[in-house]
Amino acid sequence: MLSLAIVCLLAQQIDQSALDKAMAADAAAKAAATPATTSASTPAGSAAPSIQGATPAPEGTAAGATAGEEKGASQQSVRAPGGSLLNPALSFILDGSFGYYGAHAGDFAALGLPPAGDDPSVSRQGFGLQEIELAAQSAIDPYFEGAVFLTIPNLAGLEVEEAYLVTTSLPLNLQIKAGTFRSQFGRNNTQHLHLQYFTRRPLMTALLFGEDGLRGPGAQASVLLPLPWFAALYVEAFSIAAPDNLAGLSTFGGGARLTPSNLTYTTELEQFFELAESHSLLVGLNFATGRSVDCVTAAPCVPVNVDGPRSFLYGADLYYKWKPANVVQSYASLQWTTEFYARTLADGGGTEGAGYSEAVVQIARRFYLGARFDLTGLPSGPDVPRRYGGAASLTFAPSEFSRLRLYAQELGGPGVAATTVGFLQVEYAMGAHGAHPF
Amino acid sequence: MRLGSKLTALLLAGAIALSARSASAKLRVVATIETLADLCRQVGGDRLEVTSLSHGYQDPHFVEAKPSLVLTLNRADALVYVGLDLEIGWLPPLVQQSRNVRIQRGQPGNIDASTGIKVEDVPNIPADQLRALGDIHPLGNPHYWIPPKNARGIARVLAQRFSELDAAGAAGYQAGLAAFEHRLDAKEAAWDKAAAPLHGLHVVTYHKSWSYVADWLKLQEVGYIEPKPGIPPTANHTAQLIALMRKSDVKLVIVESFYPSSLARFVAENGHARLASAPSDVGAAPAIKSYFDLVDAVLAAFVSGQ
Repeated sequence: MLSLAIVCLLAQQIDQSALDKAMAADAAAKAAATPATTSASTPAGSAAPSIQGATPAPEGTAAGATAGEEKGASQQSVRAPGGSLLNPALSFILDGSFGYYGAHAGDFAALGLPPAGDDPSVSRQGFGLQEIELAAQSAIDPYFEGAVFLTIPNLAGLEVEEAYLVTTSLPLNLQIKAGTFRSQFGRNNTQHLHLQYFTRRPLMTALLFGEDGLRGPGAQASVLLPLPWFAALYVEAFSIAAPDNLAGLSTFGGGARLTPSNLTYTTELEQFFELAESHSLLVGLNFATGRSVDCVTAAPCVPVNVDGPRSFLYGADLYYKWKPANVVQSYASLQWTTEFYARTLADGGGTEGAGYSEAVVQIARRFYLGARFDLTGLPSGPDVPRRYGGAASLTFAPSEFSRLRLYAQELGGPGVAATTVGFLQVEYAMGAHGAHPF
Repeated sequence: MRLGSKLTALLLAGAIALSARSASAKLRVVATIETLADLCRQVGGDRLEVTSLSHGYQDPHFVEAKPSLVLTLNRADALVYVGLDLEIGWLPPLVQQSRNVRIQRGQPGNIDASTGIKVEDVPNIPADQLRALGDIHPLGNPHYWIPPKNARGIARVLAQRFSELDAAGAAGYQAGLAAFEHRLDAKEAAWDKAAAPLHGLHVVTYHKSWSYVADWLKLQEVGYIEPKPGIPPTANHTAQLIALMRKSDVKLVIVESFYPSSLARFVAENGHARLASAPSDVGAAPAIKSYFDLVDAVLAAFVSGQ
């Protein structure tokens, strides 16, 4: 895949210089006919790839530079109070919480539902810091954009949540992402904690995707399909490491290189349908396969040597959003997300599934009410027990940069005691203004 | 090796086929707001195929980053945007996902309209204190497209950049610009005359988005209904504002038509001022089809209230 990226870039380079030559010839031809046009296009000459390649333009000033020297200069002076021109856009995000997993210690553990990595800590309840994230994003050069997201989940050491580059100038509607990143698999899996309206991730997360979700070092190629509606096809390969928690079966992971290439492969098809101006639908179909890690049945268990059966994870995600464009009518909006996945293990390992459905209603300009229903163990099996979860959340966003949240969740299932989980959560973002993904 | 070079040649051919545009095809321009789309049409006329990512009745800070917009951007030859971080909440991920090299930053097809105007309200305070003032725009006030001086500046940038992108049409763009400026000169004289009664008027606005217009019409901004940009009004602030309005003899309360007007109406009534629910973008109402319609409608709202 990387070699494809390099070839594409090479092609792009050649293409640009070929076009450059053609444009120069064209300009020379036009110079004879209309001298005025040529002088007008001279400033744009600074955007010619050959020159630009030698001196990468800093973000924000690039447009100014091509639009005329005077204005470009005024834009640069405008930038000055914001800090150093070449720093990436930086932001810190904090998620703090106060709350408990049930009234009695041990209730939650008895459910057999491992928490996600950025859920509040189970081992230290009460006050906690679910996550501190440092995000840096910037254009690298005319060909790449880069991002680094470092995170400290539950005060337990620095992790790299994501660090990747994305191409911006490949031909044929292609895009390559490489580094370590969240897989495009599903919807919740693609999101950072602070994009969510609930304090905890869906129950399926740790059971099917892994504690930290399906993410890891890898590469992704995606293409916009030539259709009248938005349809993007993603293909990914990851090297997923051995899981931290060996108490259950992990769908993917292990460091073993027992097969020629022990990689996890995924593919996703994402389609968007605009039903009306205020009604939109996003539908994803997802498939992944890799080697599972099962330390429970393997004895002795050395994670890097465990070669569990091949696993297949597949399912769909559905996201519906209603939001009137004209806020004079009201600030009300509705987002409804449903995801369901099943995992099949090769060699007669059986099939287990889990999913959730959640609705978030904006009840006033700064208030959001959320409800989520989780179901695991459909079908159930030794690694995915039948459990139910009902969660409610109320989010107050004083501004775009802070949020307060009340969260309650009732968990239960056949043969286990019901447990009530409750948290008060605070969230802030300081630094660069983040974008709101759809 | 041979396979590699064949693949390269194939990709090269594909890339050239995709990026080459026949001379007769129209330049596909995507603007972020309808006023910019209209200015593009004024300058480019039939040479352009212009679409707008948002509608004039939307708050341009908060446009839904729908994947369908990725598709629109994917096919664009040029992207014209307001800049100064107005679209920061929704445009950057769309441009990245567009997979369209022509509109990426630093490319000739990436057109920041704010390069055509003199930027005002650049906060001159330490960066770590900016957000204490609300969601302010650190690069300056991006609500600049209504005054004729700025429309003229934007149109000039557009004419120049379109000429670079489509050299064959350069003469056409210059002619379009000349026609626009000619019409603008005439309208500007009429607008100045119509706005004469407004000179020196004390006003209160909802968001700090009328400063450029206030400068143009010599209005004096006394306060804002939002306590701080992006922060919804509070009872306390509203009461103080009403007291201030009575003291400073505020005559006019201005609110964009996309904001809820009930509170603005309350403020106006209690502060003994007229309410002007004014459009701020082409398309804010069905009758506002061009930049000229927009300024006509703004002045009508200011002069007669609503």
